[in-house]
Amino acid sequence: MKSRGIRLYFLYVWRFMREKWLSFLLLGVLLFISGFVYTAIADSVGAFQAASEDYFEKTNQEDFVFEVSDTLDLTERERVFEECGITATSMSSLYREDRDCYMDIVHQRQDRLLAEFADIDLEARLAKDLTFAVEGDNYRMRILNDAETINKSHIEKGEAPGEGEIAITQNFARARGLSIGDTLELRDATYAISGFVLFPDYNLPIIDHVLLMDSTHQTLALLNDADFADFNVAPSMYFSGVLSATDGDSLEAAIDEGTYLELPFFERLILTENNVRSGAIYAEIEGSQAFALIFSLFIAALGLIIILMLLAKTIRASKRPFGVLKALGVPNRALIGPFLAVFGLYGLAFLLAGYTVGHIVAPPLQDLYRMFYLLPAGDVVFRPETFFVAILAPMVLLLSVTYWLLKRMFRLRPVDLIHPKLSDFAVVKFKRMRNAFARFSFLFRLQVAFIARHMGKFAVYVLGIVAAVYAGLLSFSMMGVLERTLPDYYENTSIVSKGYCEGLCTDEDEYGERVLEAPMQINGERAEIIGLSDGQSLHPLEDAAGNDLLGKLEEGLVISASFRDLTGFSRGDTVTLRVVGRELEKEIVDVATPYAGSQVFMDRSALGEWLFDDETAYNAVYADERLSEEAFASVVHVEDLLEHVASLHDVFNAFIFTIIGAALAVGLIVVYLLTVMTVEDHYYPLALFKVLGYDNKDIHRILLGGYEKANVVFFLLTIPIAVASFSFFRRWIAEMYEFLVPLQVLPLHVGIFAALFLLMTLLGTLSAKRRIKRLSLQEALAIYQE
Amino acid sequence: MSIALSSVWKVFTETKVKVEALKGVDLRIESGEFVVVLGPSGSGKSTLLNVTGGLDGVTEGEIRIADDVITAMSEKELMRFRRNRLGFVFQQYHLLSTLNVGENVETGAYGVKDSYPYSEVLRMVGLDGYEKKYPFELSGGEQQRVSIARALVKKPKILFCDEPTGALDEKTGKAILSLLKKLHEELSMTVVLVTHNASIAQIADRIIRMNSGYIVEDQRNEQKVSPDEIAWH
Repeated sequence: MKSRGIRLYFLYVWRFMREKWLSFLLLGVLLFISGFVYTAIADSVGAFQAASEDYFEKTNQEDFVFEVSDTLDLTERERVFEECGITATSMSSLYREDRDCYMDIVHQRQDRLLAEFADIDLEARLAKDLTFAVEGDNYRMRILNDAETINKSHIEKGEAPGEGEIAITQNFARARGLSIGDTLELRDATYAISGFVLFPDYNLPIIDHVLLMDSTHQTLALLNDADFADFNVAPSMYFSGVLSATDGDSLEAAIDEGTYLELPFFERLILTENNVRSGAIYAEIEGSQAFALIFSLFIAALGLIIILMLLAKTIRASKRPFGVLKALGVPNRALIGPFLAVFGLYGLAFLLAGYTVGHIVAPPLQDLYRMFYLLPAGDVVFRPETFFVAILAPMVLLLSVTYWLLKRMFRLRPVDLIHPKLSDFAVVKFKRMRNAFARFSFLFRLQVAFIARHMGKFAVYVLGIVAAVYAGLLSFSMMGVLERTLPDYYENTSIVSKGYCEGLCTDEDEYGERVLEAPMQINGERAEIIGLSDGQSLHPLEDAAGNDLLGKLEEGLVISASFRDLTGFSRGDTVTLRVVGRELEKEIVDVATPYAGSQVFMDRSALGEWLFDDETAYNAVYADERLSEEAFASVVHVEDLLEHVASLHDVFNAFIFTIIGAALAVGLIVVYLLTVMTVEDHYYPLALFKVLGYDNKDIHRILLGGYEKANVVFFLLTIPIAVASFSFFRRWIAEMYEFLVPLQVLPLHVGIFAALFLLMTLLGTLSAKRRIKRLSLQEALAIYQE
Repeated sequence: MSIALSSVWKVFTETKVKVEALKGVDLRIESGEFVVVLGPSGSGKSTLLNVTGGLDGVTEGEIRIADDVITAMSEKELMRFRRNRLGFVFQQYHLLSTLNVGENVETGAYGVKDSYPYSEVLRMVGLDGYEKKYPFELSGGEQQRVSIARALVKKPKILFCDEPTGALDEKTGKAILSLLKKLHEELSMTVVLVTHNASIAQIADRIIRMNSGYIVEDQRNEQKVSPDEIAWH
């Protein structure tokens, strides 16, 4: 009879859940999402992380890089002249003239850097960039030298390239339909693809711009040493470094004291963790793990709190029958056990389903990561820590809190359950509320009173709404983020191609307008200086009001708005430009509007005079027609860049719409569950209002009006919170990687999201309204009596 | 199974006002008696039922049922005692709405080795064939019969009834009283019925009147009538 008795209590709990099947189904969905998101991300990132760490270890990934100037400093120029009999101003031009002499300067620079830091190893990293075509479409390629000790290449598939062969990245090959054995035409030479390669310092294939990272539009490549040396493009170079000894103190000290700045050719030191191309993966792994944990815990917590509310409601509704059963000698454990078991099994089923699907989805999700990141795939295996966080932790929480709640309710004596005492708590709260809101209308006070009776429920409601609005606004703020970078910039210019000479140009100005570009430090901040001339037509320079700023370049520097935001410089500041040991003080005279990264504009003649003692000097040409690859060391075609951005755009938008959808779904579930619960909680007052002659509309306003007002208030409150946190996020990214993510919360976006949010609220409250309409007076009063 | 209360006090102190619901009550109910405790609202009759049935503790005094001192029992012991010996019927039926009649009756037999099959007990209360019906399909009288069946299924030695007809009309109320009388006779149980309705008292073997926490009168009912004969107020 005992087991039969317990079975009945199971039956009771199960039937209760069946009665509220939609609420429980939605709760199940929340738990499923929680388990799914966490497992999918944790397992894929975990596999990815394990494989990457192994890969970085084997290939000896750099710990930092020293970026150095292409311009030769005075000592180097003298040495080049004395040793090689060559007059050269830049490393690129020297490479063209004499490769041995070039390598001599490379080694000399390496020795000078090593002399500064005793416990590091360095290796020169040489990169040759070019544009090439596959079936008539242009793509970018960066060929890297085959490193000996640091950043060693890793052949994923196939063979390392022999003579006349090349290894490229698998992502690019897959996207372009290329296989091992196929050939590529590069600058009049033909290379057969020998295999697919990865480089540990290029987890993201960043070649031209930090935001251009689509691995299907550009590729890294490896040639054998002889072919690399013969390949007729002047390389850019930097030094990859690792801390060789166990003690990295001298480097750390150097960073702190800034002593490394004393070498004239030195531009900057970037630690891997701050380097997007090699270190963004670390932030990605940490960020993904943190996101997975916070998101799934948040969803699980929402689900858990709502389950507990439903549970409390159930027990309240059956308090008297339970009191009778206790009077008849049924022990607490017989009443608590079925709730724990059924709720536990129910939660476990959904969490397990989420975990299983998440585990199944982890490998394709890893592939999705690998669409961006050039890293080896890892095996998705069973990870106890994932299982623990995804399943056991929520289960322990669910069961212990459920047990606590049940124990608390059932510890009452039978007589207190059968004849519950009136609590003065709600009355006291209402009194306080009445005083606080004495000046407001009766309707408003009623709305507040209904909310105040269930502050826990209201807190969950607010949490759900704020989270949904925040996620929605974040997604909208990311909309068009790519367009606000390169496309916006190029839309303001008439540039079709940019041609770069090796060293300084000589007579390439027949193809377009002369420009002098040079990277340098401005008050210790890295900037891209662009020397323009007054009268330039292809690269106009305007302020926010549309005023022409080209004429102002004679007076000083014009900085881009993003450089201003990044550094805090403003109009009127006098700053120091520094490159290869030369320094120049200049005033910032204005700010140009289009987003353009860390660009600073200067009069070309003044820049040429300062850098090369030649006011006619230029090293690039901006053209309004497509430039030939043959005439320049490298050419950047704006159309190709924009196409590249567009390809990222689709992926980005899919991501944004997924988050908006998820935000609205979570909001919808929360609004649905809590408004339905509110109506159910107030059947008696609801019936009373009906008796008093209130119509459905009035009742709806009294019961749900408070929630609707809260929607508006918290929607509006979330906007400044979101804007402030996005600003913090931008600053954090800027400090980490020295570029600004142009997140923007536009009124239009707020409007669109408000409309979507309104729609979601209307859908969410539909069921609650229907219940108000449907409720028969008799039923409500009977429920109250019961 | 006899019941003996000696110098029982029950004082409620949960609120700011101290309420003395029972003031040194002494009482003995013999095994097999049908006793009605009669009194106006606030007289202490329901408190008397609650403490005697072990649903609530006493402030002072001793309650003995047969040889067991229930006032000395722990919560767990009390719970087991109630499970094996006592049955309760209340004014409201307090049935679990999602369980059917048979299942509701069975909930009363939890942990009891020797219980009636629920069909038999339903037959006893006149609800033969109602097993599969749900509470919302029953009238008030029928629901009260189910709650009586739930109390009886475990073959209690004492049945406590707190205003069992309070929510019923005359006809149904009389039917429930007839049922209680019939069961009392057939099962030889002790029945303690609490009510404010003086006419109901006429069916009892013994009438105990209460007022302000005291037993003001305790007498055998020499003019016992059947439930059908009472004048319903």
